[in-house]
Amino acid sequence: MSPPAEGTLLRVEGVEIAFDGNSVLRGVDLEVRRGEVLYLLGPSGCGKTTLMKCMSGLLPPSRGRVTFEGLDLHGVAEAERDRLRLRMGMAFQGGALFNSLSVLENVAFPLRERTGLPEAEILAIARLKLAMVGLADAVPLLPASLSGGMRKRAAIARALALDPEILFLDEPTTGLDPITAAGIDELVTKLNAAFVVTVVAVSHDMASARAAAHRAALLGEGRIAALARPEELERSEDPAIFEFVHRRLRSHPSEASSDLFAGEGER
Amino acid sequence: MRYEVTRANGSARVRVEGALDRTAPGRVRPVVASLLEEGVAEVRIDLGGLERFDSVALVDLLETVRAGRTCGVPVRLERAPDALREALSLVREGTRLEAGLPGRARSPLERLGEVASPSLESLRRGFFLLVEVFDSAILGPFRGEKPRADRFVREVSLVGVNAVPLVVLIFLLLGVILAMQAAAQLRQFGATVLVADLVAVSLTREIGPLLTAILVAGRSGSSSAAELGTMVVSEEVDALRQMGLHPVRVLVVPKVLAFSLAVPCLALFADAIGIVAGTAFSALALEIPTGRYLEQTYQALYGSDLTSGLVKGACFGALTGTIACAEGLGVRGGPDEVGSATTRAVVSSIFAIILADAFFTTVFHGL
Repeated sequence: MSPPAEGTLLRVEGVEIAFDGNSVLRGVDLEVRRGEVLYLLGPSGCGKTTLMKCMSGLLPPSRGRVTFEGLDLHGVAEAERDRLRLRMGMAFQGGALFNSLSVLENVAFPLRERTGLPEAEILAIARLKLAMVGLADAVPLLPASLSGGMRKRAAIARALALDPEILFLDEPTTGLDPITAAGIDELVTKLNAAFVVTVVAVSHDMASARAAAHRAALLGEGRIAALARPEELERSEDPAIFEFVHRRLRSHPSEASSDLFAGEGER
Repeated sequence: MRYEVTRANGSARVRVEGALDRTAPGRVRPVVASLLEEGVAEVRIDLGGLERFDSVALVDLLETVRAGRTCGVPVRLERAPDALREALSLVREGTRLEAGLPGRARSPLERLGEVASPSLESLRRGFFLLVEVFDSAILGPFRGEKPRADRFVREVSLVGVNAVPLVVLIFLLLGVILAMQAAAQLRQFGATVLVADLVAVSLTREIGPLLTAILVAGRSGSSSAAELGTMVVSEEVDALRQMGLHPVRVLVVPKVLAFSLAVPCLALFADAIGIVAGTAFSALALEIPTGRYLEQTYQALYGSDLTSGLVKGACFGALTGTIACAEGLGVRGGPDEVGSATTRAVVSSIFAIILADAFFTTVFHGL
């Protein structure tokens, strides 16, 4: 929560990732600016989450590198990487909350393990984080009894526990109703301002990006197909972008099929 | 964190400078607390000099303000950085940050009760389930309920047939062990041939059914509890109910019947394997001819030995199956509950088996 400094916080340079010979990312270049909210958009299975896990240091790239404040995230020693991870928070898609711990204990866990703060202060910070995401009343509950939206909020609270400089959100609004999703978008905007935290979110929800993102990157065929402000993406005439943003195919399916059977009428 | 206090007209002004975060020592609250003790009328905290802060600062400032409120002294924050202001605005007025009062200390008796009541609850659940199973298995067909033959066959093969290799291995060894122990004692009286009697009677009346039941409890009781528990957690049991199906009839009855059939059959088989092992050991090591050994075995065994073993086996099987299912269906909450239900299923089953064995021994021999 130091005052915002301008510049690049995290840089992805020519990252390629392949699983069992199937290349998922084919040379991604991306720059995350300090203090911004950046959405990684794209259809299911395009490698958004893979890219984000690579950016957060969980998944090493096959080629290329990720730098965090100029340090090669996957090149540094394990201990150094662990120190860098203290400055990052990640809210996983399904929450990844520890099911055996209460919501409060989940948020207190990283504080307890990674700081030397006294117990009373740890619990107070955990309660504060939960209050900030609107879960003040859910403190004693177990993750199993949370609704989908509450689970996402709890995951965000845990990711924020150590006051990270960069917050990774994996599909923060997927599977939620539009009202709950809008609540999460609003929360992301507020947290971005309150914690001066840089946010990188993976989503296929254009509405979310429009509401919360400063910039949005569209992933396609293993590369960044477009990187612009969300409203610019919406105005784009590029077919691939248009299809994703407007949820329909640019060439009408019936036209395509009439092309296919064009010869039949002449017979 | 550095601070500077200035006082004027009964009100105090605390100027905070430097870092207020988890790496830096010093908090605002004790400073203000001592001012409140002095009895100042108002406290103003000047945050203009704050260079670095994190959630520690938020908690510290919120608790300081609250401390002032409980004393009836207004505590105000001045020149707070924008981000701090934003962060504080996210916290709803009146949110409790400190934990509630610690619970009252409990007496040893209360703690014993806390340990015992889940076991009693488990036995109670098992009993009611057993009543339901009997009702469904015996009276159900008269009410026109469809018997679940396919599930029953599947369970018998899981619980019984698949356990055969394990039973063979264990009872081969056990037959030899029993014969060795018996021979060591009987040799003193020159009655080595009675090894056959000892092996046969101890196996059929006691060790066969008991050990088989314990094996089945560990092997199939645990997996049944885990299976049903997982079905509860993933709402499969609710799905059955929603379809108008009764989980006890569909899931539990075939399991309990399979356990009640498999355990006596396995026990009988185990007896035979143990006797074979005893015969082989006696022929090789004690030089008792096989024909002589088998004849001695035949004379030693009464029909009641076999039937008591079978009755015990069936009863142990029913107990194990019922307790495992009761624990499985009793799972509430998340997946980690499945693990503890599985453990409880095995422990309670073995306990119930031993209790029932004591009961049977009293009935068959004591009366």
